[in-house]
Amino acid sequence: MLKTALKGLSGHKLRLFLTALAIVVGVAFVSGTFVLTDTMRGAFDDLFGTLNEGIDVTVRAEASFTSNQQAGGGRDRVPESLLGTIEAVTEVGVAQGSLFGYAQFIDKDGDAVTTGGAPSIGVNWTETELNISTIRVGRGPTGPGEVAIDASTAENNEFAIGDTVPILFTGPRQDFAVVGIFGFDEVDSLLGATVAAFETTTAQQVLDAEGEFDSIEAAAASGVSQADLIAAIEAALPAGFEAIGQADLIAEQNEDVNEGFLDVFNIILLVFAGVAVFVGAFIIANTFSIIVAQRTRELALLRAVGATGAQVTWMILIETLVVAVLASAVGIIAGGLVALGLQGLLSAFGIDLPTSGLVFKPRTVIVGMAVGVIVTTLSALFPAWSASRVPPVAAMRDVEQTDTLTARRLIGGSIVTALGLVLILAGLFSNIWNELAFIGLGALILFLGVAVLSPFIAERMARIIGFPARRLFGVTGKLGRENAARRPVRTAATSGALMIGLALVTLFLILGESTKVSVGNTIDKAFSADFVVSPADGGFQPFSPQVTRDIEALPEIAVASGVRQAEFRLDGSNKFATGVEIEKAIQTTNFDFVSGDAQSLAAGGLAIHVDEADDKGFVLGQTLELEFAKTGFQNIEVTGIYEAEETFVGSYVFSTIEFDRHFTADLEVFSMANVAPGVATAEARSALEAVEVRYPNVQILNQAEFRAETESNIDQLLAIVTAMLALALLIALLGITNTLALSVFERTREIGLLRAVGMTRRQVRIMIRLEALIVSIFGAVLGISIGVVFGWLVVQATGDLGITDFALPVSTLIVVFVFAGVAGVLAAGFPARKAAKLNVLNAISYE
Amino acid sequence: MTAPTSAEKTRVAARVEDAVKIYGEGDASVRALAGISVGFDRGQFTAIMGPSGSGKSTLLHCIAGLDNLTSGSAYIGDTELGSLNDKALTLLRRDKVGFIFQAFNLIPTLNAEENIVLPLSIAGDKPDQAWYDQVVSAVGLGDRLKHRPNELSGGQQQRVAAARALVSKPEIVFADEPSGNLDSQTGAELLGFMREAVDNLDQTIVMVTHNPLDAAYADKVIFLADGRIVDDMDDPTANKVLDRLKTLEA
Ligand SMILES: Nc1ncnc2c1ncn2[C@@H]1O[C@H](COP(=O)(O)OP(=O)(O)O)[C@@H](O)[C@H]1O
Ligand SMILES: [Mg+2]
Repeated sequence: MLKTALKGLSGHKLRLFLTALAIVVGVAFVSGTFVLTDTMRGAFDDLFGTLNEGIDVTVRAEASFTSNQQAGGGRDRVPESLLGTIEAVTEVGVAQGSLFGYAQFIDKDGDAVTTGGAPSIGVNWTETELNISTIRVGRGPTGPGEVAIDASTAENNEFAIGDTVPILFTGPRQDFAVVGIFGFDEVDSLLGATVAAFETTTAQQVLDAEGEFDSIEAAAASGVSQADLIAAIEAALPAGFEAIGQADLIAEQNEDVNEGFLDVFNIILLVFAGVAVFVGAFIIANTFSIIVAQRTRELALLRAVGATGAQVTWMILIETLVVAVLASAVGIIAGGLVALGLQGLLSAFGIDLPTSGLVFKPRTVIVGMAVGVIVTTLSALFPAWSASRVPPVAAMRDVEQTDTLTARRLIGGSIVTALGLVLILAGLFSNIWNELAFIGLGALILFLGVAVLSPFIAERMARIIGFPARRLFGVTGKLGRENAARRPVRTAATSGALMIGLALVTLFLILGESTKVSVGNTIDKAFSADFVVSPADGGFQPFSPQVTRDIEALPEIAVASGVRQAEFRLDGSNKFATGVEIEKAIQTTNFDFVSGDAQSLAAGGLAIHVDEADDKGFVLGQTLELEFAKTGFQNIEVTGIYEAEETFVGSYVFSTIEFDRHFTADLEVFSMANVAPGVATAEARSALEAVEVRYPNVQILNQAEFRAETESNIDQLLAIVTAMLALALLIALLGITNTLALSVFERTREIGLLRAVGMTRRQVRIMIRLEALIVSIFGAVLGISIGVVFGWLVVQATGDLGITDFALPVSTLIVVFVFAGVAGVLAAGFPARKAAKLNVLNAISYE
Repeated sequence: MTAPTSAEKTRVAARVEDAVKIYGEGDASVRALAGISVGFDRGQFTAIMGPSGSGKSTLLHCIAGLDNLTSGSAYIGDTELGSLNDKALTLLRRDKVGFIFQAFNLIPTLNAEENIVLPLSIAGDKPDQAWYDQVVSAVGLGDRLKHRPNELSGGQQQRVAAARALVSKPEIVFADEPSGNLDSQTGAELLGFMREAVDNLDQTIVMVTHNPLDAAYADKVIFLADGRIVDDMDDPTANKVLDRLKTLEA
């Protein structure tokens, strides 16, 4: 049987190739996802290795928990004097104090140097062997007014020795002379971050850390083990500080990156990969069932000469396995290309990911192979089983294949669809433990159900959609339309893949549009300010509070109020704290105290959003035990309950005094300003523009502009998601190509006849393309409809996440619809050409 | 047979001169037509007979513009086929030639009527109503015109094919064993219809057949063997044809 199976394979090269392609693409995306995240992990590993070279122990302030959202995890700093203490320990060979803060370069055009998401770092320069940087040109900074710059930043911005470079800090902007350019071993850049190094005292000044370091690193004296070194240093350390071995530190840093960013990134990519595989499975199943149908005669012949039904099933399954293994192997390798493609895609959207050489781990190979083989085998199971039911007499018959729509299909499909719907609704509207899993699984099942049911409408829909074709193209159009309608199960399965892709695209477009409208409305409701200061170019890099101070100092401005953010813990879960100068914030924000008042909040304690307070049962005057990275457990009184737009103000507001006590975060995420009475807005704006020139890392926008800016950020995010989903669409189109090619093969005789009685090649191509067009429009109608319903449901369910208004991006959806049609026609290109080139004689000759 | 004179040319609907068709190359090559010259007169019903593999189908395909000759020339009316590209050949088939194949003559997604007018619809033309009525009534399908092929019997299907072949008033109709899949009764009906088309509708038909009874419907029979014309016979009867075939196959 194995031999027969292999023969069967090689006898159908085209069909095989088309099936394999679907597997290859699906597996490639899974493998590419792993390759990309592993590659990034590798890059981080390398980086942390480099950063910690030669260091045995790091001394830092103890923190009861750390936050990924803040540089240094929100730890307090250590006093400079501690360096002396550590140097005095005999086991210590060499020690250095390190400082790390915010320093933003201004380039020669006066713009902030952008980093594509990587931080803008200022550090102190040490001349010890623990300094990870090595001077390439010039020398290290030795006094005030001097800076050394990392090689990558220097090159990208054409900074050279002797240049004067302006740098922004949390304090005022200052000019520095470039005295050195350095690298990190052979590497030019720390994952795209810009690094400015200053002489230590200067660094302490500009980074607002006088007499302090962030940490102290030490290397053991020769002959001293790391354990002895740690023990000796710990013995010398006062309370509140800790010594951590470098291996532990690296592990900690890796874990932060992995849990914080890479894992999330990996999961998001895997979801897309899952969509690709699911869509791919559709195509694989469809292809195999068509192939089995086309081989009815051959299979019946096998049965007639004595093969059992089980043997036929096994033969098909063996064929499937061989294809699956080969195609998965190709897919795994092609994953490297996908990884590069994803990287390119993200960097096209301004997200630069750290990379080194592509990393293929055994896990990638195993998972890729497993996904490919399992999905393919499952997809082929039903076709293989139906192959076993081909009666031997079918060898003698030559009847046109038809699709019969059974009551069983109707009932089964309805049950599956209903089950999917129930799961989705449960996930959306009830408080089930894993909502996303419910929604995802529900969507998957729903799609299956719809695919099972859609043949019932496929024939009628194909005729309706194809109606204009008859008008426009006469009998050619009629034939295209009839071909789309004649096999409803096949048409439904073919358009099914497209339906899924488009449903998801539509869902995200609706979510994006709804988010935009909701966020826009929230902005309108949340702000009473005339101007909003935010990081330039829609970035996320917080800026110096000096900006707000400078703005407020303008005579044209009445009040300016900055907003800071940090994390704390309450009852074991992380919460966001917002820090504001409350007396000012109530002027720039729509912020109303339900109980308590600004004065008492200004004096200390925290204010809680009324919804959160109701939810958790917090009341005014209650004392809560909060946990801070810097100060540990603290009892804090609730001094206010407020009503405001939660999405912008957050649920926990601290006034500046209390905020500064517990958090190290000293940068502002945005800030708001009101024009002074009697001053024209235009006048205020030109004054603000002068501030913008001094602080190129911020942009100052009025409310409408800020709204537009926020909306365009959402659009960008949406564009990334859509680009990722485009892969599923690509696979879906591959499915159309695939099915059509198989159908053309199946209709060889018919097409030959048409050609014999005078249909031109062009007309044949048009006929096939029209069929594809009808099938894709069918998929698009289903997909977009399902997507709209999904979108509406999700918006209804996620009101509390900030998506309050349902908005339909009509024009975009029309574009998507047209795109689906055009893409369908393009997908038909290959089968259409093949049909047109058909050898008429071979097609009509009767043997 | 000698080449037709120029006076004959206007009388002939289609002809070949020194037609040679070689399939394959080298040792594996097959000489399906070994130099044939023949013309088919307008308004005549010609049958081509000969042993299996003698080149009957090949000859038909080459005159009908479905295949090209290795050497020699083929004409439909005055048009030489060798100089035409695929598009021109296709249009020629559409407008000037009718076909009846042994089986799979009809498009399953079109009903009988649509199948009949297919060549015209492909051309974007409307049928000449009087002619169409004549052809259709001759087919005798009655109320089955709106039925799809799978709802028609084999004989009905072949008659639909015949009607389709005639509907565009072609210069010539080619039929390759049109009754090959039919029982003798329905086969006779089909042949009767074809005869009628020649007599009453003034059509020209060239038919390949195995069956001496079918050949008897023709005005003339041409006998092929090994890619050559070995004989012809006017006013054939089944018995005369049978006798001739026996000597050919002997
Ligand atoms: N496409 C082809 N390739 C190779 N040989 C062919 C092809 N078509 C026909 N032949 C050969 O040419 C000869 C004539 O075939 P054909 O015209 O079909 O005979 P007939 O119709 O008289 O039975 C036969 O020997 C046949 O095997
Ligand atoms: Mg033949």
